[in-house]
Amino acid sequence: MVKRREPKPASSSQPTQSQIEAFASEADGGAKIKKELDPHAKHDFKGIRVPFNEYEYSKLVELSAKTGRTKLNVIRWAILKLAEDER
Amino acid sequence: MIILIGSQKGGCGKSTVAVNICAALAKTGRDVVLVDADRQCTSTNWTMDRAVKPNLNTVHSVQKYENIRETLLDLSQRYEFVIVDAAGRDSRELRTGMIAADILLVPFRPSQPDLDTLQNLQQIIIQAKDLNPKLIVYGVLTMAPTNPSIHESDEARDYLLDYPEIMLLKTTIRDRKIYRDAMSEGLGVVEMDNKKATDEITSLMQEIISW
Repeated sequence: MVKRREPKPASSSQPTQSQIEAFASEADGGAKIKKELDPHAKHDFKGIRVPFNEYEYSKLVELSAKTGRTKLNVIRWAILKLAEDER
Repeated sequence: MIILIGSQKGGCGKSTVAVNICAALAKTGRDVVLVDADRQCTSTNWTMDRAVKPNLNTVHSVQKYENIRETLLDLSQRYEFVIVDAAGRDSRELRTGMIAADILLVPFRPSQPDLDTLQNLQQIIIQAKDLNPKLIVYGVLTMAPTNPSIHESDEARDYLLDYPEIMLLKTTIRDRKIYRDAMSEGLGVVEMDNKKATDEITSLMQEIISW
C-alpha cells in the first residue's frame, strides 16, 4: 500500500547573519555581496587536467623533492604565491 | 504570529490593510502590535490618532527600519500578533521582514503597474523561502471598483494564476470611502457602521488566520 509523503521543508535551521545580509542587501537593486571563499576548504570544487612539457615536469619533480611537497601541493602553492604577489 | 503586509508597489493600500487587521484583532481582544517599517509613518499616524480615543481597544505600535528581523522575532514572543507595514518598494525592511514572518500578505490593485511588479516580487519570495521555509504568501485584491460591471478584478485574478508562489485570497477589498474615513480617525472599518467594509475585513481575517 502506498503512503502519502509530506514534503519536507528545504531547511529547518535559522538563517545566518551573512545569509540575511546578503539577501537584504539586494533590496532596491543593490549590489550582491561577493561570497567569501575559504582558502582552506576541501579541494573538491574543480579538477583540471594540466599538460606539461618535459622541462616543466622535470622542474615540478625537482621542486617537489626539494620542498618535501607533493606535486599537486607544489602547483597549488605556486598559484597562491603568484596570487599574493599580484595583489 | 507575524503577518507582514508588503509589496513592491506604493499606493496599493498596505497601510490601510495593516491598520484594519490590527483594529479587527484588537476589537476581539487579541494582543496586537503594529510595526511601522515604512518611513512615511502612515500606520504610526493612525496609532497616534487612535491613542487619543481611550474607549478603543489598544493597538501597540513600534517603528523600526533597516533590518527588522530580530525585532519581529522578539515581539512575536511577547505579542499574539505582530502586524508589519513595510514600505511600497523592494526594501531592506521588506526582505528582512520576509525572513521572520509567518505570513506575507501582498495587497495589489487590479491595475497594470501593480501587476507588473509581481514577477520580480515572486523572485524575491522564492529567495526568501530558502531562508524562511515556513513563509506563507497570500495576495489580496485591493481598491477594486465597486461597480460590478467593471471586470478589472476578474482580469487581475486570471493574471495572478501565472504566479503560483502567491496564493490569491477570495476576499476583495473594494475602493470605499469608509476606509479613508476610518484611517483619519484612528479606527478600523470594523469599528464603524459599514457592513460591506466590515464584511470584507472579516472575510480577509477568516482566510488568513483562525478567526
